[in-house]
Amino acid sequence: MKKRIGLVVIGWLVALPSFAALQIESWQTPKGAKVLYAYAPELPMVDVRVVFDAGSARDTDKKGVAYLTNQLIGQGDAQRDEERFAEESESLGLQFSTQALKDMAVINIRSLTRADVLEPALALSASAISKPLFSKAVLKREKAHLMTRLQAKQQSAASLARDAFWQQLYGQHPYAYASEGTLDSVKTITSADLKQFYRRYYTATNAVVAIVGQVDKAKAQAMAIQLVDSLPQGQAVPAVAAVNAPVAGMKQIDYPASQTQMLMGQLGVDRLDADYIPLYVANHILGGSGFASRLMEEVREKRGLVYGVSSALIPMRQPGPWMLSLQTATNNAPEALAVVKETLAGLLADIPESELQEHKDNIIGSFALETDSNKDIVGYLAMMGFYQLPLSWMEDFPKQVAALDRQQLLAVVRRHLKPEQWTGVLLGKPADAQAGAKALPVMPKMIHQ
Amino acid sequence: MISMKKMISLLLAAGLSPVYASNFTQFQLDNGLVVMVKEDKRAPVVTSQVWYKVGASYEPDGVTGVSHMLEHMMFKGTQNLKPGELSKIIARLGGSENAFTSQDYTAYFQTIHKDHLKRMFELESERMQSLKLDDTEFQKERKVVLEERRMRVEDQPTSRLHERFEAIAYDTNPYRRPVIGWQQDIEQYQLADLQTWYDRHYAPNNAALVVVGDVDAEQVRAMVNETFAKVPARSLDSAKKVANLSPVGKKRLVMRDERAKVPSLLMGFAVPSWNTSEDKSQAYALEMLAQVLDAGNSSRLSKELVRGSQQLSQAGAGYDLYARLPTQFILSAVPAEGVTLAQAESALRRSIARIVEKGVTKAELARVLAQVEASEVYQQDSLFFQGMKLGQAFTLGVPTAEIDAYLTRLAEVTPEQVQQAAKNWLVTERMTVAYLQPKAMDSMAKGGK
Repeated sequence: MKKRIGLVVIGWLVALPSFAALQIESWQTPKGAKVLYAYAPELPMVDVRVVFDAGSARDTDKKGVAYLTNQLIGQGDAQRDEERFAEESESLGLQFSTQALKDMAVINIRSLTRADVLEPALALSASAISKPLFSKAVLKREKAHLMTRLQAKQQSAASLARDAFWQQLYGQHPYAYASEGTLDSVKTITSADLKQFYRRYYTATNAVVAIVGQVDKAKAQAMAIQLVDSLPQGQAVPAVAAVNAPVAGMKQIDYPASQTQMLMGQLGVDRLDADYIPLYVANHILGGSGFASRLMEEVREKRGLVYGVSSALIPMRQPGPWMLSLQTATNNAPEALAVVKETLAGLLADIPESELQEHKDNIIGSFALETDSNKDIVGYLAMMGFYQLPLSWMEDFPKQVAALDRQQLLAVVRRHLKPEQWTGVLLGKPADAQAGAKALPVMPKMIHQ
Repeated sequence: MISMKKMISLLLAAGLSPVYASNFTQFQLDNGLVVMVKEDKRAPVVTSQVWYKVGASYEPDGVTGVSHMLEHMMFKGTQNLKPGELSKIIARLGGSENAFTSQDYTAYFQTIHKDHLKRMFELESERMQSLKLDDTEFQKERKVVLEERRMRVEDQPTSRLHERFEAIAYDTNPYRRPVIGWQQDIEQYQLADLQTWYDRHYAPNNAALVVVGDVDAEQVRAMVNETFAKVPARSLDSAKKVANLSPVGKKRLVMRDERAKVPSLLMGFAVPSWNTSEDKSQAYALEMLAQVLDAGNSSRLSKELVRGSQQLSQAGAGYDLYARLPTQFILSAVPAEGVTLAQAESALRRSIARIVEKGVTKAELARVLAQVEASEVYQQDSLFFQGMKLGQAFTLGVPTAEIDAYLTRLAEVTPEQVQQAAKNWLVTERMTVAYLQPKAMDSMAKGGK
């Protein structure tokens, strides 16, 4: 049986057998869109992810333009209105969805590969992507629905805390805002705004197409051209603005909930930073690996203070956050915060060889699980294309993790991790939130080298 | 538009492999454990799941949520494993693992490289027979579960609405109890309650082992013989039949929550599931009705109420076809800005009335079938989901052949049967309506609007 996925890995303690590496091919369409493709012959289906550098980082003062532009793709085009698009695509079992993140605007297409389904599905998708209408009536309705969703966010402590944290970390930078915009900004958005944004950013040059499924290379080449080469070639977009270091300190926000939401962090690294791999491993140890992480052990397993606690290192075009989040009963907030601070200090102090090895084993061993479906692989391909990572990235990643030296890791952690400069929010009931602030422990002395 | 007959022939042409085909094997051990193996060799990965026939719907009052609490304790040590050790072993091997509890089942799963499958069997068979319940661990974990409840329910107005809706809609039906348990019950469990629950329900003769991935059934059989086969069977109480009251009239709840910013409503109708239907085609007609109302953008609720009249910002419909006990056919809605909950309720009821009066079209049913057909292929992209379907079939008492025939059964449903289902079941006497009313709207209502 031919193995589709697998990475050539030299195991350490856990000796993994080796497999033929996933074959990824890449080329450009005649108009200049980058394509990444992997053949997956087992199931009669194909996944396509088209990504434009058109996330909310490209928003101007009207926050939400990138989001609404993306959202209206598939809601009416030159050939058919949204009702016909819905009926025709769903009659084919085509799954067509869109998503606007901070860096990327994403279009996901999933179809069966039988010719009598795939051909009309591609024609529909191509038309939706290259000839959207941005009708005033549809925009008016989508704005109204979006504003209801923005209002609903106000009843979620987790959403409020998340938005407040990003604001605090990024200040005036476009990353500070949730991609769906704000109640004030969404009101002002017009159909002309969407058309202008679309013309600027939805171009072939600015597109990456990832294709995984039961289609051969010739078909994949034709598909990519069909999907994005009706778009104008366009011009390269400028770099996203650089980010500035945030103001340190915890902000308290009053909110009537039984738990306090605690989010805190600092700037991490951009996607191409040479320190990404060591920091990925460090974050895995800190709070990125569920029950294997130090935060889970200290805050939940030893003390029962939370249901969930985790940390995340989010690499973006510009340095994304390295952040930590938990929720705990308001009375527990001071203790939880103290434990978090101790845990951060502990990471700076030492990472024993045995612990590092356990995490390496987990990361390397579980990487195969992250690439065991077409959906996973198409996600990796789109990400690699968008951030211009080498085609060997998926093969290199576990090797680089395996090769990481403890001293080198500690040096990178100490260079980046600055708990005394962390910024964050405590969102919860006021009295206790204040008690939490008073109970802030004096930062333990940092141990360097 | 694709006709239904054509759809069936396309389906056959596509060569869909049902789970009872050559890649599926099922057998039972002498101790009663059912073993289901589905071979899927796309990646060198396997998912291993143990499913127990126990969940919230089996619980007596006073200890609601005890199944979920016990699920947490299953990670807290056995005769040969220290608390948390099982998770650490799996992490070290590069696996991912977790567990979940629902109304009708509790399941434990690992996804891991195929070479480690036997180790997973050793760990799972160990905690199937020799869980060690420790009071110190239990007291900490009770705090964790209380935090989980705060996070999932107490601080989420829409979750609170859902919980209270179920408490009212289900009358004597055990589904009236929350899976996570009432707070007071969580606070009053004794260690002995957990022991009783474990002794009563955790036994090979009340469980199934589901394995999906890069394995051969014969290898699995050999590994099972050395592990699970050694766990002795226990005598089990047979579950008592529960009273199912006939509905006597509409029930209504208006819940106020100071944190709610956006109103929402749930509308449920007491209906039979496949398990509790005399005439099984009735259950499939209800399933088709739910899909006609809410499968994609071309479905009724989206087309008529979200895009058409624009009275609703969000709308949904759902029916738990294979529930173990009688269930609810649930519609949900978030009114658009300026639309009252009463108007939203009327809008939903008018959509139902249109089906009762004018029926549904063949084209609508064909669209549903096209989406179901495609999604049955798409689901095969996920090992975990394939395992879920098998585990659910076992715990809910539905033959796997019946679940495989899902698309065929739906294809047999006629437009008249869908209309009849709406007419018979979606009636006022069977209805429960729950409103989530933001505080700000109270004064509006009192102001005579």
